[in-house]
Amino acid sequence: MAPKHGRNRQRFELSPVDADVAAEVDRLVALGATPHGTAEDGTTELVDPDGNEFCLTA
Amino acid sequence: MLVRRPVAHGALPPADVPDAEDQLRRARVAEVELGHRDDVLLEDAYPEFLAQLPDQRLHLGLTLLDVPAGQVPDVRVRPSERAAVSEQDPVHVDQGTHDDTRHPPIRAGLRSGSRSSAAPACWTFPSETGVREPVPYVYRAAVASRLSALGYDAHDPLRLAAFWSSLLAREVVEDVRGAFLPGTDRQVGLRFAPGRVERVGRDRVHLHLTSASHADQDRQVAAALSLGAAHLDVGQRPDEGHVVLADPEGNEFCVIGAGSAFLSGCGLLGEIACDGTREVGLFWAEALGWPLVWDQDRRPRSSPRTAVRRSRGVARRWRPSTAGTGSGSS
Repeated sequence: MAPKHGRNRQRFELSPVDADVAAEVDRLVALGATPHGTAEDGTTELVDPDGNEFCLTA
Repeated sequence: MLVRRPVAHGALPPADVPDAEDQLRRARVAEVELGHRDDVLLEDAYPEFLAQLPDQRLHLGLTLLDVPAGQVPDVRVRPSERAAVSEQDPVHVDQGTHDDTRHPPIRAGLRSGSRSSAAPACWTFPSETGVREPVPYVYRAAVASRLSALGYDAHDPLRLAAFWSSLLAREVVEDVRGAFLPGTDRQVGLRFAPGRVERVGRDRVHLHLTSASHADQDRQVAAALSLGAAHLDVGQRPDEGHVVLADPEGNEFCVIGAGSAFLSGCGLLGEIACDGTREVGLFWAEALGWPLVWDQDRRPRSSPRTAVRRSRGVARRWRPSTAGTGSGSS
């Protein structure tokens, strides 16, 4: 696996389907994601089990 | 609750469960059909589908039970009154041949079989995935997130968006976050947002474009080069059949040679390839509700990978950690 050098330049953007962001964050965390704060635009960020950042927007 | 599409992937319990009817009761289906409420009987909803099943001695109805979002739906399977389940009949899973231009897709059906004494405990994936052999692993989850876009940090979002717009023949939509190339239900969107992160080392994520023929691959590569792409040497071998390029800001992508069964039917933007572990592949399968179509540990290959795939359209694939060294660089 390519080592990480800071923040990935490519990131997945997810949208919850029939769920609010908070509930979906809980589900993703239960699956192995880690909360990674909130971006300036309010986007919720998480990292996957390999440390890759991704975001969740309503 | 409304359940979501498609009826697609599920698991039968291990074949050593002796009683066929008990096997059916314990079968599970992960993704369920769009637009129907609970208690839709497969038999009522899809008579034409059932009529196509080669063995009609047994019709099975699926009753979808109410499940909270994020939970695995249980499916109660029962034989119709028209036929009895024999304990001697192993239970088979068979892919559907339903014409989804007229009805919502059914990717798999259940039928009884009488030819084999060994009941497979897996689904056969539809041929459009390019994976024709049974995959001995069955994914199960309810969909709760969709992949709306792959976002790129870009020094010049509009220029980078213009490059990809030309290459993929997609429109550019400018918004407050930068530039966006909307996707479709088969193609993931691409977003380009202002960012100052410099490229250091290889990217973990890159796109795979598909091609229809050798000439088409050449044409795509020439088009990309004329738009500002450059060849990239990541240790690929000439016989690997794909061309590795970098977009104007250095983001890797590949133009895959024609004839990739795995990417068959995925469209021009065929795949998002990711360096990563099997575990992260399993994570994303659950997160996005994309079935696992290639599992390195359960289906050993010379180039082990873990892959998930949307039921239709773009795939994602994880390469093992050794791939980052340059081998298996597609």
